[in-house]
Formats: sequence, C-alpha cells, structure tokens
Amino acid sequence: MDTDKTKIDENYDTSEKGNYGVEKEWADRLGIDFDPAKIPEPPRQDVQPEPPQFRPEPPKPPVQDPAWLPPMHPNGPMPPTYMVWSIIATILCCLPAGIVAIVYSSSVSSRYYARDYEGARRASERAEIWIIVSIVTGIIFNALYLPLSLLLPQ
Amino acid sequence: MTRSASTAFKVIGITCVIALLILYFIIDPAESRFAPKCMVHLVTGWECPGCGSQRMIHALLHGDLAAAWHFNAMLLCMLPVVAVMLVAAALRTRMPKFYAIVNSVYVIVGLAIIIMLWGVVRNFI
Repeated sequence: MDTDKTKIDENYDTSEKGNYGVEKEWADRLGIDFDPAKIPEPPRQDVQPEPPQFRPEPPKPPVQDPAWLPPMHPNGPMPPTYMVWSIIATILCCLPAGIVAIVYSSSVSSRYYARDYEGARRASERAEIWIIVSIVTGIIFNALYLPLSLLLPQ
Repeated sequence: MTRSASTAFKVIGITCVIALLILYFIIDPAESRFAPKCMVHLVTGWECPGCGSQRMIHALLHGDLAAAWHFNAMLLCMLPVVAVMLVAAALRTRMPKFYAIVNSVYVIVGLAIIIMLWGVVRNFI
C-alpha cells in the first residue's frame, strides 16, 4: 500500500504543468481544448450552509377586477336589487307595477356603480315597495275576480 | 334583518315553492277555475309576457317540453336565468362580486327588453 502511494505522488507532476498536469496531458491526447480557468471551484466543505431564515412573504398584488366591473363599495355589497322578484312580479302578478319595480331595480345597480350608495339604497327600497304593490294588486284582483267568475256561467 | 329571521324567511320561501310545485303538478291551470287569471289579459285581451306561465309549469312538471314551449317559450328559456339570479340573491353578502355581476345594469336592462319584446312579439305570432 505504502509503495503504491509514493508511486502515484511521483507520477503526479506539479512543478511544470501546474495542478492540472494530468488533465492537460489527457486533453492534448484526445484533442480537447483544456482551460483550467473554466473548471468550477469545488464547493467549500468548511462553510456551513445558511440556516433557512424566516422571511415575511412578499405582499401579493391585489386581485385585479375586470375593467368592466365597477369598483365595489368598501363598506358593503350592493343593496338588493330585487331583480328576480321584479321579474316574477311583472310576469306573474301585475305588469305595470312590475315594470316600475324593474326600473327601480336597474336604478339600484346603476347608482351603485356610479358610487351613489345612498341613492342605490333608496332605489332598492322603492323597488321592494313596487314589488309588494304588484303582488298585492294581483292577489286583490284575483280575489275579486274569482267569485265573479264562479257566478258567471262557463 | 337578523340572521335567524333571514334563515326562517328562506325556509318558508322554499317550503312555499315546493307546495306550489306539488299543487301545479296536480291541478291543470287550463281546466281549473280557481287558478289565478292574468289581469292584463282579462282587461285588454292581449297576452302579457307572463301569460301561460301556470300552464307552462304544469306541462313542464309532466315532462311535456313541447307543450311548455307552446304555452310560454320565453319563460321556459328564462328558468335557468331566474335560478342563477335567485342563487346570487341568496348569496349576496357572501359573494358580493358575483351579485354585482349578475345584477349589473346590462343584465337588468337586457332582461327587461327581452320581456317587453316577448310581450309584443307573442301577440303577433
């Protein structure tokens, strides 16, 4: 073992061709361009890798609303437009009052989008009132009509 | 409205809808004299945009799509829209953006125009 080791040390010529003597010799034999400067430095073993540090997460960019969606009121959602109820009241109960309710429903939406939050709230209340008017009118009309129609011969 | 009152309101509403559906499955509005009549149709003689809704629902509950289309084609097409709007209305505070999109001015005005147009067109076809 001991003799082998000395043999290797003798063969390894450091004086003339530098630390990469053997590599250079092989590169010359194989016809490869060999440049010691291009060899990456081996990682230093004595330096401990940095312990993972707690880093605060970078603030996420706020989710961008699509351009056609107007700004939302920070204090709350859109007041109820009662749109479904307007439609149901229009086609099932009383057409004229229902149309008024639909107009107020659209007014809620347009005012909210125009940042007129107080106006939107008022329009919402009026839409509700007109829906109730429409439904009550339809009920009263049918309550009056039903006995009449039962009396009439069919 | 408090939270529990709102929940109670929703439960009552769903119960009423189910009761009405059962009622309209059993009763044929075209035959029954007790089925509510359309005021506009009785007064003016024109068919309003919602005329035929009861018969349409009755036909739909019996699986007769052709008859449902015949009685009120627009309402048949609008049923999914109405369902989406009801869901949006129920989740208004929890999903305000969804509600704002569903209830944007374009949607409301568009629906109003469709209903009015249908009210006019159905009297000429």
